[in-house]
Amino acid sequence: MKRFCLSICFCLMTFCPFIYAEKEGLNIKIEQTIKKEMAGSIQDTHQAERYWIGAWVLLYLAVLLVLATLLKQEYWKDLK
Amino acid sequence: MPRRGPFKTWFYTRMPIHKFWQKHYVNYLAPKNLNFWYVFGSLSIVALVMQVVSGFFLTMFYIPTEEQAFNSINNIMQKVNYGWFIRYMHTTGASALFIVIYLHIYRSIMYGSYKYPRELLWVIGVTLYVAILAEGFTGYALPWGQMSFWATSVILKLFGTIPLIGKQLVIWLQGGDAVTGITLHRMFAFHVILFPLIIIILTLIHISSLHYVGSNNPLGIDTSKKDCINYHPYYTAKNLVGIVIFLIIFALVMFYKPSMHGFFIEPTNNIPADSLKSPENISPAWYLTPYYSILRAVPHKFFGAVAMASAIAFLFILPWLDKSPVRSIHYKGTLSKIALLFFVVSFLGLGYLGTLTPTPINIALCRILSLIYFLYFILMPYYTSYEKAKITPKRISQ
Amino acid sequence: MDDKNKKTHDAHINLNRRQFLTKATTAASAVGLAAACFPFAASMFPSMKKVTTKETVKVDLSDMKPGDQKTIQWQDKPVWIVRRTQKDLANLKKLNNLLQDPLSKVNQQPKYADNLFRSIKPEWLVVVGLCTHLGCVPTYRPEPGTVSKKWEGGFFCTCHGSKFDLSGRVYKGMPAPTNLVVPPYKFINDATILIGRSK
Repeated sequence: MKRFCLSICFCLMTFCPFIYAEKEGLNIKIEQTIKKEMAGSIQDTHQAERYWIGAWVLLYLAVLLVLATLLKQEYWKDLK
Repeated sequence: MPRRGPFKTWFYTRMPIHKFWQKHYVNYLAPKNLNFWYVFGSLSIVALVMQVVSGFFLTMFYIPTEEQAFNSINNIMQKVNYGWFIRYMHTTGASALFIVIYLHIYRSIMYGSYKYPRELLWVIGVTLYVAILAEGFTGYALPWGQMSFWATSVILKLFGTIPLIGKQLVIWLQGGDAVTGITLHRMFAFHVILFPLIIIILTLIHISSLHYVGSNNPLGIDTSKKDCINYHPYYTAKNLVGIVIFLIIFALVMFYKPSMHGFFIEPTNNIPADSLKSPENISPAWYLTPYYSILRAVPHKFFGAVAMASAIAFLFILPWLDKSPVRSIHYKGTLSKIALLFFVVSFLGLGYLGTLTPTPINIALCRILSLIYFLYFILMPYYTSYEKAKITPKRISQ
Repeated sequence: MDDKNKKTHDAHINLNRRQFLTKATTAASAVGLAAACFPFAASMFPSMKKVTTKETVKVDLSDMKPGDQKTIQWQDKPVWIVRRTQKDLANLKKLNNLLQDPLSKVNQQPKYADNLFRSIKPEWLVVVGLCTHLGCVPTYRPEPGTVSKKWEGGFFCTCHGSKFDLSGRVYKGMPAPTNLVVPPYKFINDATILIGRSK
């Protein structure tokens, strides 16, 4: 019960500044993002290539994650 | 003794690096109950290596002059083969390094890893954190966009609040009355030589001093050999899982959301630096915003800077503020738990507020949260000695 | 863990599975690291958008008298144009046994320049002015006897002492292994050449 109250309290506290803060600045930021990413000088011309390579990298990492998890479980059997 | 070939024998009799390797890696004894919070130390090394490698390659194409800096970044993004890959790795890596380090620091605070006998380890770690902040700040200047220019200008002006020498110090740091290409060039020198060297050396000292005093653990109790296991292969395997998960999140951001809604790469920085017009909302990179909020909260130039500096200074003396007989938050009293909660909330809140425009309500929130931030440290000697700690176990149970 | 416990436990550990997983993970990590090196290594090659190999240069020859030499920049390299005198051309025929590759057997020139004078028109020599040893720029020394007693005029590399004749052919016993490179070129008319293209 105490734990439950604490976690509720924690959640409220965490979001308090996020709820009451005036987000004007953030809105400006997002507007700027839209405007400047279209008109900005630094242009990202490799988006398609980036997404494509990203997919392969993630696929590889997924395989590696499976291997690493199995390896970890295998070795940690020693400690059970 | 394992059998060795003639080359290894020749080499090891002259330079026994295998002993170093075994002492600091293979045979390093770590408590067997380290949970996922303990992966962030290894992750920070992974992130650091990624920064060094990608930074080294960026240096080949980046030009640190007023006229060429911005264009050279554009050139990297468009013409250099896989230049976008290298740059996005570096920008994402900078934020990733800070996220990892913040979680690493939080772990140490939560489990009391700064307490006896690890005070010096903690102090070295905080120094390392300050060096990485400096590295991040100098790197932020290099693209020489609007945000680079104005954040550099604003932060360097902070040194001007130091009494007597302040004014001269700012001129000395900037190399003139204002931030110019000269400032950019020295930022580059600091960013690629001095701070990386300091960071690498401090990292080595941090790790070797950790291996002398030994790792703390989630229970915060002293461990004997019986409670420990070899780092290799057990923690190698465990950390590898953590590293792969880290890399997956990293790849998701790097390939699909490299600007992270303007937090990792600021949209304002896509416009070349203009010393005649400052952007609507100047804020430093997100990892500096908690301190920036504290600066904003104080309505006085000098004391604002003092508050900002002392926010970091309090971290250094944390081991001597905590009077609790136990290390880990598990065995501390309720007061400590609530205090830690408030501390985390204030830090996150300050960080968030630092990215917003300073409206009256935001300033008021900044003040409340700054007060909470400082009270966490100032009241620590009282609540840790007042509250009743729970009894710690003698050993890590099976 | 005490020893007794450990022994009963060890029986349940499948060593083959463990070795297989260790090797598989190591191999996968190594492949990943190698793949991660690729973009970094690739970044050091010139980018496709900046390749200059199609660049050509037009040179006006009308102001050159016999014995004159001119250096032109072509694809970031120096190219020499020399208007040889009749005496120079006569000398070139006598040098064969002093030279490393007098007949230009090593492919350092386009087909149409594979002759005694290593040029389209005997009077005009066009070569890339980089020593084939380590890429210094040799000096033009047309006066006989200036580099050595028997010097008939040619090019002398001051970096490591390689000597070339007025056709860019290397002398015997020099650090440079081959003759100087003749770039592709053509005469647009009698007084203009185009360097970089044969047709």
